[in-house]
Amino acid sequence: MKKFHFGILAVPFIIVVWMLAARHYPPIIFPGPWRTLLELKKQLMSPDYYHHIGISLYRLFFGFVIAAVSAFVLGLLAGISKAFRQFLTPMVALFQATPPMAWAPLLILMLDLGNAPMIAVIVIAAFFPIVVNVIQGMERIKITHIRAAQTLGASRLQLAWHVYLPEVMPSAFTGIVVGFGIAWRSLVAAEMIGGSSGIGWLISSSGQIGNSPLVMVGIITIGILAMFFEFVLIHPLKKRFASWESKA
Amino acid sequence: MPVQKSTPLMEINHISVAYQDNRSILNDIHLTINQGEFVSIIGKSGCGKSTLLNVIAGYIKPKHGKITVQGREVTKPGPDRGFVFQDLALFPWLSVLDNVSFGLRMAGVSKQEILERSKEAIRMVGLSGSENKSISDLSGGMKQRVAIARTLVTKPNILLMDEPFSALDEQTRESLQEELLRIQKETDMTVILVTHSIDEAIYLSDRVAVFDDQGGIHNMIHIGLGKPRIPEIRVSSYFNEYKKQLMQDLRYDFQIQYESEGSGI
Repeated sequence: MKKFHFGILAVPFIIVVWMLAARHYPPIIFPGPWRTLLELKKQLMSPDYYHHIGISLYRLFFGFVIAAVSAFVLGLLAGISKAFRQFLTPMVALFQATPPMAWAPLLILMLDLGNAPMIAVIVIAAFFPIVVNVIQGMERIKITHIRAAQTLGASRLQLAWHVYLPEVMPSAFTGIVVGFGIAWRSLVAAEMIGGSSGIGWLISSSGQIGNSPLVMVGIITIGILAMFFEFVLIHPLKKRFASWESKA
Repeated sequence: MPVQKSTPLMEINHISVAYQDNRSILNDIHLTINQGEFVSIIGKSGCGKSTLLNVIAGYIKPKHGKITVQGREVTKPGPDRGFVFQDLALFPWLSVLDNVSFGLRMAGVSKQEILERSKEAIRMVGLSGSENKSISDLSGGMKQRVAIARTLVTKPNILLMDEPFSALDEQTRESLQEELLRIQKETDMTVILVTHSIDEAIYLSDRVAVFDDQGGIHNMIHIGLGKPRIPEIRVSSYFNEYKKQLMQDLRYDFQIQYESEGSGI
């Protein structure tokens, strides 16, 4: 028989605590699991719910791809050129110290309501952790790997593609995981303050009209989506491109 | 003792290398190496022997002098001068086959030829059947074989080896030394080996260069033990004569250093 895994208790525990907490409040303020489940059932039938999820995912996808690609390119360049690295490092340190959310009000003024400011927040959120880790990864590349590739006839471009890129992957994925977490949280927060759509907006607007069950549904949706991305998207990719490091 | 070959392949022409602060690492090294020859370089740590190998490979530019291979000056690394690193420098994200085929893939050879030649190199080092293994699943000796196969695949004219066997146990080391001689004979490669081991240098080499502490060649010894070498030669009196001489050559440096340290008292 398999040994008992205590992780199985996590979800029942949360539900019990939730039920006990909900007993102290009227359902309209803080709904229990049952009411929330009914609301979820209702939302699963509603095109509006999918619309908001879709908008948030669309923003996340575009913002994250822009951030990841630009962070990768700039990180690789900074790894190759010491001068560029020196130029980039103070800027990265400065921007990384500010919460991405703090930019949201300004970005909304500058870029108007809609997708643009939300995508900008995601780019700011995800870019810096990735670029920092790519630079660190570049610094850790072994000189003998570079020399071996040169001796085997690799051109500069081939060196970048066949040595720098794969060798930097494990560090880059550390940045991608961190950046993704920050980006997702920042997106929801930005939608709450300045959006007219998206899951964040769904939560804040439901709160304002006193639809607490929908607020709970929104929160659960955020959690489930984040877990989905982590286990279905990021972990398999990490396993594919970065698993060699743990064994090497 | 007949000299097998005497076509000059590489001229190391008065090479000097210095640190940034002008302390010298290599001091006017002058050496001619013939096609198919096996030359070992021994000396103490920090004597510059690995630096010479790096200059030949094209990783380091000399301050003075130049190196020519078949008349052409060495300016950058290239597949004509294969290199086996002390840390092997295998690519851990690639399989055995992909490590070995690296040089061919860089050269844009056809897929069919890549596979054939890589498998041939893998066979030559006795690793057939391990093509799809991951580098981390291999033993130290097997990794060593992959590193050699990866270098052989581009058919280098010269094989540069920087203390390649130093991390191996004695048995593995000896069997790899024998295989290296066999491969050298099969391919007619010229080999330059940097090593700490006097036994290894004698067993493998046609000539052994002993470095002094100032980055110069203290002595050059011809090893007249005949070729192909048989393993039993390791325990012969001829072998021990060479060993004695090389130990004295290395100790000569030691005495000088000892005296100069003591002279201050």
